Amino acid sequence: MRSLAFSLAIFAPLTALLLTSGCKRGSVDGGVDRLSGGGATFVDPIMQRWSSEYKTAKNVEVDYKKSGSGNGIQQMSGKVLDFGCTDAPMNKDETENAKTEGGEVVHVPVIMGAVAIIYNVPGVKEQLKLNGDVIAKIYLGEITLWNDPAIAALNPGVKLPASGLTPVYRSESSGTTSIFTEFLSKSSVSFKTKIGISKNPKWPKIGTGQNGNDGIAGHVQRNEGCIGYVELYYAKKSEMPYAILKNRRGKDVLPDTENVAAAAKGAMSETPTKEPYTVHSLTYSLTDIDADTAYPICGMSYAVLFKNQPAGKGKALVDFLKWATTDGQKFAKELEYSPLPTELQTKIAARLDEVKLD
Amino acid sequence: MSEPVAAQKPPSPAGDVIFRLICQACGMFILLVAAALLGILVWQSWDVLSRIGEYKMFTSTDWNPDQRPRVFGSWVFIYGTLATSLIAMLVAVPLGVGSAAFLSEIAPPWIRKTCSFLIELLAAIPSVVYGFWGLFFLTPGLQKLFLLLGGPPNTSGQGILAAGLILAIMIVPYVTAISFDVCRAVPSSQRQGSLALGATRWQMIWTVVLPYARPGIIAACFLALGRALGETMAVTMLIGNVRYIDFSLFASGDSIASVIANQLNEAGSRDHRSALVALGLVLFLITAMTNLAARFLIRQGAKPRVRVNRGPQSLTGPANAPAEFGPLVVSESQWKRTARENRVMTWVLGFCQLATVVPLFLILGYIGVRGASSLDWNFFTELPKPPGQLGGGMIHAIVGSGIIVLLASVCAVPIGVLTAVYLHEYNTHPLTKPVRFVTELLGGVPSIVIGIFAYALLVKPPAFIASLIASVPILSYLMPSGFTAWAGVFALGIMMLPVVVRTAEESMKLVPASLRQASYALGATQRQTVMRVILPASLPAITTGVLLAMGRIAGETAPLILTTAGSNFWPRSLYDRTPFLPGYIYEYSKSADADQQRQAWAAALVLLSAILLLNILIRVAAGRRVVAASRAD
Repeated sequence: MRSLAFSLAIFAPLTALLLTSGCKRGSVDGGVDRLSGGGATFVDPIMQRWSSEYKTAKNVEVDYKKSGSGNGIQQMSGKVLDFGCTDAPMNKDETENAKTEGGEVVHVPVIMGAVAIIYNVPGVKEQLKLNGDVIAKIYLGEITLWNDPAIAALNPGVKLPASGLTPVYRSESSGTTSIFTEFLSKSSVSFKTKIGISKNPKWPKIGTGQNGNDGIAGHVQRNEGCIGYVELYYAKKSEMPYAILKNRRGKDVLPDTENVAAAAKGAMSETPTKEPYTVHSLTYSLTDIDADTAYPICGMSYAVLFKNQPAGKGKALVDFLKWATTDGQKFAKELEYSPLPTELQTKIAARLDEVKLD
Repeated sequence: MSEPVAAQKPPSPAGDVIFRLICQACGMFILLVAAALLGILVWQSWDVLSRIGEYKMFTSTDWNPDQRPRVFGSWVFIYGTLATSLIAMLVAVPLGVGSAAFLSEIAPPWIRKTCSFLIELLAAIPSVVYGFWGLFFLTPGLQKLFLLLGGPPNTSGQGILAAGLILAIMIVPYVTAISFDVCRAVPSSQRQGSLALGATRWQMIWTVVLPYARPGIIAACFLALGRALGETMAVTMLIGNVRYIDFSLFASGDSIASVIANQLNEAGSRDHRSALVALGLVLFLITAMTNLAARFLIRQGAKPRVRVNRGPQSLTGPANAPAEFGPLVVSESQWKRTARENRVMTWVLGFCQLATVVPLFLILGYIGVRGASSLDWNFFTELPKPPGQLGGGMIHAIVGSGIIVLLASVCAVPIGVLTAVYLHEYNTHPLTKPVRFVTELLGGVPSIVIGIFAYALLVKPPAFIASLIASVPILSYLMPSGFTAWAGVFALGIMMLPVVVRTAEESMKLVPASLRQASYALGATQRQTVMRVILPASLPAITTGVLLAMGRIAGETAPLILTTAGSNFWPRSLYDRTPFLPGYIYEYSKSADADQQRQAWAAALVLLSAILLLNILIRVAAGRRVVAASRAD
């Protein structure tokens, strides 16, 4: 009997735990103090900052886990998360899919940033100059050595080694990849036909796939000969050099907050004509913009949420997004992002007011 | 055992009946879980499986989920899985069996004791820590090797070979530990007989111990193979994650488990998700086949025997010596050759042992040094800080991991042990055979497949299951959809269950019949015999099994990424996303941010230390039990 009592004693705490945790859950749903979000790694640094600031200011925990844009879209659509983040607006399929799960989806731009080209070339510490065509050739596998004439021609005076070149790309569905391939498709016809714009393209038989912006940055940092594309904050954190790119007007531009702002200004002056930007309001393509100082690979990160929200959580979510897109923008520059233009902030507030709470 | 016999009440038959029913119910639970697992895998993958030609699942190497027409050719992943596992087995099996033989037959007791403890530690190191170490220690080394061998200049050391080698290091302890146990279980009369016939120690090992232990060794290899096939985190961190096949040893690749871990959460279209589940089903079937093969082989060699047909001469003389009894004539040169062979093989086996434990020191040393310089007090008191702010810690993840692992163990151990009792004690019941079969099958199921199962059942239940859950109030209360700690506990508990059942049953088998007979002779019922005699006597071995299982689940990352998903805040309830330490090791290890890397090293050190401590504690506790059990004998 002693042994039986022993096994009962094992089960007892389990039962108790199940019951207590259940009770706790009930009490939590009444007053929302935690929002769960996830997705784009592009936006993660500032999202963590917002989360920390917002907790201090409003005592609401915004629990954001980075996992890639595709992930954010799917988890939001499947109602597993309260909101997702993505750097590429949801395409038609994704929008349709979400509609069957929970109706219309609202896109809210939260931040703008640049995608920097980082590299680890033995012996080269200076900033290389590159253009869309050369990068396209690298990711098509047509350039395999660092001293390729195409790279050398853009960088007179730089001593490039004859070492191998490994392009690094994302192993998961990524909005940053979508921005990057959009730029390359605009720069190179051959890239457009062979690979095209995609969050998760089929790369040729070259290179290696890494998970997340941080994964690419870490891999390039640790492995000589690698080149990769990451959001500017990750580039700076990796302490690897990043490239100066030729923009549409043929000017050499650095990825920085001003040059992103210039691209955004150009982008917002014209009406989007292509999918997926025509499917959702407040979405813009920021790549290859025709302006003097515009950096050619810029992107916007969007929070995506269902238009119909449960009253408590929905209110908390809308409040947070309103805060992030206004007050929260002041943290943008120290984390290498570009704040949203004021007129866009007004439009976002109006759009968020359309969210139905019930 | 300490109570006087006279104080015991007469046994009540009702208690025995209830006990038997409880044990049977536990057995049935395992059948139910396995049926649900298979059912969900088939059902969720049916979209793709029913139109397998259209999606070119097994006819293409082209995996293209996002562009139309969608194609899900899976050969890249199947190849990557098989190639890495093959490399791992080629390295691990000879090393593992060799070092088991060395430990069991040659090593002096203190070496045996030390090494078997070290091997237990090696088995307990989490997959994600192996991956982390591989990323910083193994791949840079491999890269240099590739360049020396004139490999492709653009490799980073990651790829099929790196993944295969790390898998080898990971599965060696499984081969060794179990082979060692079965070698020890060889009756010493067998050894003495062979030595009395004039065999050298090596000849005794080769012709008596290993053949006698063969079924167990094969079982060990298949268990290890199953782990290699389904291993996720270490592989996904090292294999390169590309979507093409390159048959070079230096090449990058991808494995089934890795692609599921990378893509299941983000699978947009129904058919993409369905294709990934179908891959999970393929993995399940491959591992099930290795298990069936193992069972078949074990049954072939079920009656352990020495190869008597070789005759006593073959032990010391050439094979063509006349097979007749009588005085043995062994020439001096023959004897010298045999003695030399014995010496050489002793060294070879010793080397196997050394090669098995060296990686442990490399891992502990590397992580110890980097972790110790990264660890500070904040790590144990604070939550993570946002980027750009230094400091911060992971106390929430330590707590979260502890809760999940403990709860999973608390759920799995009683069910597992009672199932083992059912299998061992009530083996006249018609379902014991299916239950044993299914348990073994479940034990070979890769963690990522169990992750899919928990994901499809609890996180994102399909409409049918969701409405079923919603219609039963208790279920909807216990099983809310979404990422929850509960889903993680469920997944880890299921992973642990077969290991507990297997070790509990095996160790109950080893309890001498005399103990049981003595108990019955004193008038004890079956229940009393089980609870008072059989279980206490087999407790040390059960504890070791539970320990191995806990070590395995404590480091599990992939199923938790699919179920509890991690969090940046304190664990709040079983129904919230919950932080877990291995998740942070994975997340921060790939980072280029020096501060995050520092945190990853610290996290790896903390996780390793916790597991080390657990090992030592349980070893001490089990040691006392061994003493108690021997006194009872």
